Amino acid sequence: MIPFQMRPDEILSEARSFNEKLAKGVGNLMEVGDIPSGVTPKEPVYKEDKMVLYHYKGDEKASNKTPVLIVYALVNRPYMTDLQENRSTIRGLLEAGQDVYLIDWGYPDAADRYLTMDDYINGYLDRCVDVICARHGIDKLNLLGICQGGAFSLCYSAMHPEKVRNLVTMVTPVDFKTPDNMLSHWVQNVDIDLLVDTQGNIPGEMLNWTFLNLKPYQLMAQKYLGVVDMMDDPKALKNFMRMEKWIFDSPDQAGETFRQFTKDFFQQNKLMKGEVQIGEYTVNLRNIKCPVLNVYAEQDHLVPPDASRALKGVVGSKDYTELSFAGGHIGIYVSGKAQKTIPPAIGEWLSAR
Amino acid sequence: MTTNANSWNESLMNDWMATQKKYWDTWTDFARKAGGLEGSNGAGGGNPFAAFTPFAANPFAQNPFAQNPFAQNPFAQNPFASNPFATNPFASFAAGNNPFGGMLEQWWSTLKPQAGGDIGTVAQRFYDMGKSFMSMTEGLFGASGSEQPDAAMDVWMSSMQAALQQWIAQIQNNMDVLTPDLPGVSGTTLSTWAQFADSVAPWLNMSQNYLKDIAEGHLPGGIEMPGLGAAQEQFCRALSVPGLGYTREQQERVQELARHLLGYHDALRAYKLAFAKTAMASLDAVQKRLKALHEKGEKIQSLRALYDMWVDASEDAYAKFAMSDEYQVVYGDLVNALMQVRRDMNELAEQQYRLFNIPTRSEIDTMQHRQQESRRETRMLRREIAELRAQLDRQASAGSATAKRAAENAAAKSRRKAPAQDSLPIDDAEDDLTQIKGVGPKMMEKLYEQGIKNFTQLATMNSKFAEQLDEVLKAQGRILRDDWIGQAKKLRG
Repeated sequence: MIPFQMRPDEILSEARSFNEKLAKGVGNLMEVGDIPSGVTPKEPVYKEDKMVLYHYKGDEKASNKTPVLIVYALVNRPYMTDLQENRSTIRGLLEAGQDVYLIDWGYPDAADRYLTMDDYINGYLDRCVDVICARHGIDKLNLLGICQGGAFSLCYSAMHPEKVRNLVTMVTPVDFKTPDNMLSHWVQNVDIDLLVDTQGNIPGEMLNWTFLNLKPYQLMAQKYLGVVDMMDDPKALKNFMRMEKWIFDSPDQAGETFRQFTKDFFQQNKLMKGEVQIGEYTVNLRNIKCPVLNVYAEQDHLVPPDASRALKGVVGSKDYTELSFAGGHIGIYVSGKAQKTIPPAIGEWLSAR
Repeated sequence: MTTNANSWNESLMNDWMATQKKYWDTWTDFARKAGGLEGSNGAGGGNPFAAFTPFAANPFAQNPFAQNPFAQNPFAQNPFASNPFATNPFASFAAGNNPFGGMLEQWWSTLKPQAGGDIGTVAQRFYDMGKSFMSMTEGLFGASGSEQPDAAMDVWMSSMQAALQQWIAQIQNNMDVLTPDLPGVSGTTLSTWAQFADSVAPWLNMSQNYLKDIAEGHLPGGIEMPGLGAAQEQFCRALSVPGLGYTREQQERVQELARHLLGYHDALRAYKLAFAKTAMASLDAVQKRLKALHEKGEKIQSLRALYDMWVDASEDAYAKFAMSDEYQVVYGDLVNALMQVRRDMNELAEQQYRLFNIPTRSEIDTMQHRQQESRRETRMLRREIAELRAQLDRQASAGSATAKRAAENAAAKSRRKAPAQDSLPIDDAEDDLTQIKGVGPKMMEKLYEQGIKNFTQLATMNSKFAEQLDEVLKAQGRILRDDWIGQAKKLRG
């Protein structure tokens, strides 16, 4: 009745070959050497506290005169967008004629626990925008927000529409209460005030634990079994290690920012309702009138497609475009297929506007 | 499954032993190299901790396999020769005596600290995966060699169910130690939580044993209480006795901490229990899928295919659990309970620090909070100064040809910036503009700066002026949306 067709010697031979691959693999693991955080040449152009604004250098001069600023999430490190030569969203954008800037938020420590969303968005981000605009002698730039950074970019564009020419959001949550949002489901019964008052900053390990537990069997076990098959290829193994390094490189999150983001966005879904209060502003997404390109991943387990697509119904823009990718939250930056399609499409969309 | 009793012989059994041994050799070898014991990659010379490693002299002194790695191997006597499942191979699982797993666990936990850094953490993940994969292989191998493989597979499945039931019973009795490493149980989830909890509140591990004692009825001071529920109740009652005298506050805090520690262990137990039940559901799902395959006449032909199917079914069952209301409750309770313990510990620590006149976290928090506020203010002032300075510069260079563009910009800006003052009555009477819905103290300040200080001025504004003013004040369209003009008319009386 058990539909299993293997003789003991077959089982043995598979187990043995698994062992051999693993033995060779863990040997190769130690030869991997240093793993760089990002590969495309860049220079810092502005620094403030732990934040650094980088300007990337393309091989050729950008054809689009309006630079694009990438705003990454606080929860992971931004080199996800520049992991390796042939897996770099940043390189893809440069090749598509864009002039690329990126904010590296750094690693907040206990002294940063009172950094609020107001400090991040109307402070750091706004000053970066001013720096770039001054460098290029322009009033408006293009903004590209990723995940939590996408939510920040939406808030920024609603509060400072005069400084945003075009807005691109990637895997960005807008409606935090779609029925398939596991993360949001979990956090509803967590006493966020108690958590932040007690912990101060929220440890990266805790956030990481939470993310991995969205799919524990795949992310903490099966993935590694799959890797055993390619561990004999040092290059493939190095690429795997780049991803591993990135996944577990989680900065702590500033307490006050976590408090507001989790309570207002996750628990109370205020972004959808136009009730988010940041500093002196009430964030109303209808204020975003510039062209918007909303890029989402169809198999995103962190930000379900519906959570992103909800933007269509609440944004004030008449020029709204969606671009979907048949992959996951991370795949959209690292898969070969994504690299061939997504950055060129974003570049083309930006250059046309 | 094909019955192939002929292929089942001693040489196969020995091959299995060799395969297992090779598997552990891989890890031994890795740990030695990563620990720099063989100087591979030059790591040995540079490892500052080499001198401190417990294995520096004899790296495998404590290695359970050092003498005869399989001395304790339950299969050494060829257990399948008679009846492979005469003794349930998983019976001892949950008690932490998993024949290989248990030994390996101990062995790995002494070795792994040497494999530090990125490589070490990645190796840990490979190790966890391998453990579960080998455990599945072991079960299958045993079944496949049986005279009646189908029946043996059933026994294997049921033995896993039994192991889970045992685990569940242990959790209920507050006695669980190890998560069974069955393919459908993600022990990683629980062990990484334990690591995290331990990093947040280092007393927790200690309290686990302490509370276990209590739960088993051994109260502090040699008092024996029968039964779990009664003991806990008594203990809680004891903790509720009000503190007295000089140390009253201290006593109360300690009592509070103890209550919250109990609360944490309750929450953890509830979480584990829900988790164990999900593991059971995963196993059911695996069996259902196997049945469906059987009915379709399809066969699984590799370990990998079985493992993948297992993961898939488990992930499905887990996803249902994770989206349930029950999970929302047990997860939230667990995090909240941990935070309460941590908060109590913070407070106790602070109390002690104050006694020794050492600065405390809450004092530093207060300072940081104030500092961040003044940093914000400084930024704002700086920006204002820069704007004013730019305005002055523009005025000064208004005539110069080189500043033509700047002047134009300035003109455009000032048109935008200052709504013509003469379009409103000039009037210095000051009203409390915060009575208008949508105007806070900051907004009132901004309005005053623009020379708008009373209801009369606002009431006589036309909508075009309101739009310009809105832009200057960055009011996001609130002036018209909230009808400040109408409100002002009413308030003007």
